[in-house]
Amino acid sequence: MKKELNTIYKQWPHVAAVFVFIFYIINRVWMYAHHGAAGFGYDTGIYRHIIRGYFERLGDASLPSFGFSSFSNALQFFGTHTDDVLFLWYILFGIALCITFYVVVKLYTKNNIIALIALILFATSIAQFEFFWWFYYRNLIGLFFVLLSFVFLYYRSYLLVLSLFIIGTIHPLSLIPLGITLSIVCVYDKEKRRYLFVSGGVSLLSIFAFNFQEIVSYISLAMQKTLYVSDASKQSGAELTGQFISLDFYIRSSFLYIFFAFAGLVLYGKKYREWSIFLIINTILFALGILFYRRFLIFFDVSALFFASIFLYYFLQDAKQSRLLRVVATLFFALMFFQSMWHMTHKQPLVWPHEILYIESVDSMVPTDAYLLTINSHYAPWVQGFTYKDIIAPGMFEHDRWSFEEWQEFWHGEDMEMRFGLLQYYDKDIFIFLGDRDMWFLDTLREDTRFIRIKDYLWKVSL
Amino acid sequence: MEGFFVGLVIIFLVGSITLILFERRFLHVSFLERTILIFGTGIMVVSALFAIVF
Repeated sequence: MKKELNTIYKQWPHVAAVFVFIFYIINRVWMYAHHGAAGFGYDTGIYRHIIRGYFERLGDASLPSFGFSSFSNALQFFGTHTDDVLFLWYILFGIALCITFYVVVKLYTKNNIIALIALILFATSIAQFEFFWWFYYRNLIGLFFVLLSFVFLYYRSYLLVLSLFIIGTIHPLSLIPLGITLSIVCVYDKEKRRYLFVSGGVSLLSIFAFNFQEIVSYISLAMQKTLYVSDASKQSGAELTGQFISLDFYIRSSFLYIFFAFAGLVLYGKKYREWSIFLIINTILFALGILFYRRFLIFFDVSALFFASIFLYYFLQDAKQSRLLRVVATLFFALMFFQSMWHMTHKQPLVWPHEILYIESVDSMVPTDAYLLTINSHYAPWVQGFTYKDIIAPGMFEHDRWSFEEWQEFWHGEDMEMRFGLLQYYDKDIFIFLGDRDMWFLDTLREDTRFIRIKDYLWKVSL
Repeated sequence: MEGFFVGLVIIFLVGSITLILFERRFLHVSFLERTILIFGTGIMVVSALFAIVF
């Protein structure tokens, strides 16, 4: 027994890492365990629609190119159910992301305790929790392969070609900060120059060969909407920013470690040049307000955690003799865990599980060739993802034919004939879905007998 | 649920074979590093093959 305890004591960073890892898994699975399909963010329904739709039309050359579908189609081809691709594999990638970050920090710093500190910061980071909760599936895979690319870079493995190719096809945006970083490293680091030139060149050519359509669509979007979105209109602004959290939310949630990150960059940046460049590039991309700029906060946060853990390690080493600083350090880590747990347990889902059940029940009550209209774009992704119907939603998808003013007339207009006139734009039967947030519209529907109640949340339009 | 495990096994199998063929040195790193490398490589190779074929 004494021998075992001695071994555990000697291996304490690894033992502690296991407990932190368990905390991380609970933290990431919490919302899904409590709310099921409603436990994640806005993109859940959109990805369900994509994963299902692309596999149903596997081999259809008319489908727009979408790199992510190679991943999801492969898994479904092996017999994985759509919802397992959607949730189980997403959670698995989240777990792999944490392990990969731990591995990368350990690899670059060659220090178990720095890796442990990095693991604690990553597991308790609210920014990383929010990133996982928002369900940016492709971005998550992209971040995983960005970290894996750092592993390949460390070993100068030509598997870097493959990781860059995968990032460039599954989530091209993730390639921007990494690509710029590797280009700069290629310029100043003579030893890695040939290796990076070959890896980068081959992967770039492959990306353009296989994902040309998607790359062109991003470029044309950037040209149409202008590269800088800081002054975009309110309507399109949210989408063009990349959504995700705002800068002030990020600062409020990361204030405990962000100063350590900058201190770490200043003091140890030269020793870890690739990571310094990566952090600076992401800072610039975010500050410039480049298209989808909020997503660069995710990469910024990862590199900030890297430097914060290094600074904290050396700071704690130097402060070993000070009892006060040991107490402060303990309080710091306790606060990180407390903050994370508080945020996790107080997080509210965007929709409720019973609303998902309502949506799922729609297919059995609505004919195949009918439209399903949701008056609220909030529910649109879930309605699209969890039914097989053509969806009409305000400003979303391909079936919406109304302008914003016409939607306003439909929502709040006093003229019922005007309302029915708008509905007659469509050439098929229409059923209206109402979520909990839309119950105010019941009064409007009850005013006219041409709106036929099937359930409180489902109404048929009789034109 | 069986499909999930089948997919996972195939990913790890493809990843292992790829590393054995092209990066044998990765089979001698630490357990955690090796796991991530096999997993990541498996995903990359399977996705890339699917992109090429379909």
